[in-house]
Amino acid sequence: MSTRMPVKVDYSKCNGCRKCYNLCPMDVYTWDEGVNVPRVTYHMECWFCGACMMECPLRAIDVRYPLASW
Amino acid sequence: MGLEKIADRVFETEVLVIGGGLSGCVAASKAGRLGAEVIVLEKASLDRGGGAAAGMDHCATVPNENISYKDIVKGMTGEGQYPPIKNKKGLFNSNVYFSTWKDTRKHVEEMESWGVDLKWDDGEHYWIPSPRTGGRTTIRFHGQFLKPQLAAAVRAAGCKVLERTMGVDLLTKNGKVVGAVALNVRNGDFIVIKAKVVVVGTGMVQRIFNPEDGAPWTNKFMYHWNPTGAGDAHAMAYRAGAKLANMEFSSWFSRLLDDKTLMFGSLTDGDGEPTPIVNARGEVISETAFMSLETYLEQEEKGLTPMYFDVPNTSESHQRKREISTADERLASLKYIQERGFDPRKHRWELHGTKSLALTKNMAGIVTDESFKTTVDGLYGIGDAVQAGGTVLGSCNSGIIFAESAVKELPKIENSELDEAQVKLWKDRLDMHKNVEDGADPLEFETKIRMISERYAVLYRSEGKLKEGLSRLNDVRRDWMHRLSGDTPHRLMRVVDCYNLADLAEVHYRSALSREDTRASFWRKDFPEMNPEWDNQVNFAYMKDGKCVIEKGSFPEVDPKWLEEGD
Repeated sequence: MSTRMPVKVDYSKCNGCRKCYNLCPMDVYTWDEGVNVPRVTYHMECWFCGACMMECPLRAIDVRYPLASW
Repeated sequence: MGLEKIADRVFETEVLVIGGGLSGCVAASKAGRLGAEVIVLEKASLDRGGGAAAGMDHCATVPNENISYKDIVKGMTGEGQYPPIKNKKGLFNSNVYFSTWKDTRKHVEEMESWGVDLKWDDGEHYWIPSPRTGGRTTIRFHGQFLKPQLAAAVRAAGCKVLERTMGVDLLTKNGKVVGAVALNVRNGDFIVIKAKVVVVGTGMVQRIFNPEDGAPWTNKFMYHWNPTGAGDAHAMAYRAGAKLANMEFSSWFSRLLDDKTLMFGSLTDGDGEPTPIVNARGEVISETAFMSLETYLEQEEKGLTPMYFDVPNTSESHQRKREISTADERLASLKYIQERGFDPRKHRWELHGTKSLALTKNMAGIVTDESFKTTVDGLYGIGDAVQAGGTVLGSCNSGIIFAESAVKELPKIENSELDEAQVKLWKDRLDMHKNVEDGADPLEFETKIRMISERYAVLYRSEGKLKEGLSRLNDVRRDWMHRLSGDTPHRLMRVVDCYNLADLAEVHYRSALSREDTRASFWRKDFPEMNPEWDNQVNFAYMKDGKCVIEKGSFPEVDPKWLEEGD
């Protein structure tokens, strides 16, 4: 089963600038050096602040609120 | 053995700032500009770390011709009238608050001179009135880039910035703080910093309570305020022997369930049109958008909850102002509303009245004097972590006042050697957590602490429950602390969070046990009335020989000069 993550990265848009990885307050992202893209590794720790979404220069990141906050 | 052999990196500086949020950035920027050598540690990034990570929409209660700094402080410290918290007189060292707020306007101008833009589109301050004073009191600003601007100010001031680096604990020598050990949460480097002066500013304590609407097994950090800090500053200061005050007081802010930011500037102060609070029948309970826990419980008793912010009945111009305010403070919040199909022009916004959010800011915190020096030599505290440093402007004021005072002290401070045994203790402890077989996830430990707090130490506190809570906390610490797995540097950071949270939960429960009283934002079911024995009495907590000490004491009286009219 593929489950919904708090942030979704559109890898077709990502240019590997690392802003999300460098700026995330909760250190949710790790960096995949092999393909030069972010990975949403510590997704349970997302604060849903939206800093990555705001800072992504290519609008490749979407913040999605979880079922629990409906 | 030598520090270089124990640590991966060793630094030496005059001023060490732990925490790169609002207060830490202001402190570093000012100290750097005064010529001091400064290192800033920030667990995340300077640009998007701390309470204003995603933005900020206002700074409240700025002294001006409508409200003097004296009136602001009288409100904060219970000398005047300031809903919703009653009976809080005597819980503060008001003198510190008065001196903190005195030069607020000057500090705002100073921040602006660094490139921090607190002005509106026309280049002027945009003042909004408060329902409490009727006149202008609060500055609304577009704060989406407040943190990036402050981060630039810190770099321009010549400070050395260590990002993704968490202050783990303070190092002491002969009762004086002389540095800190730190952890790089990306590469795992163990770092030692020797400093003449250390200042801690890592925000408030929230994570000993449940998040607002995270499910217990996931979304563990869905708090209103930035959850990065687990009370690191409080815990480090406490372990170094510095006094914390009022740690039994928790915050009962009326959280919005239907939005992810409080939008204080637009809902409560309302830009001249505060949003009323109504009960389930639509009866207006508060015109000024403030509601105390007592009011909520009264309505609950009568069967008239839920309570709502009556947003749909505000004007269209107010609706638009609210939207801009949300974008300024947390853009993602607009997305949240949209995703749920929630229409603020049609739907009322439910308020969560009985959720304890954090230890009360501007009340529970590290004790400092007027220059933000703690009760331990060499250690200062600023921002939401200390008693008088809460809110955006408290952070700004305390950061600047600290820097001015500390930089003056620097020439008088002798260099002292670090205690290698202390450094080694943390090095060995962290190494142990890296290699735990069959270890437990630190987030599970943290969740367990929250479960204990919520069950035994929230609204219906009593001696029996608090003792049971303490005993369970001790069991969990004894059996699990050494088995927490820090198998990645990131997870090692969460293990250190657990040390801090466990210490602060203990301080919270023990302080609550000590206070046989009900007042301000503290309730004991077995002492439901204000107990005169606790008039003007404060719990001070500190660690001595590895044990938690709770001491009943009092703050100095308010100097009458502060209560006089004028200024």
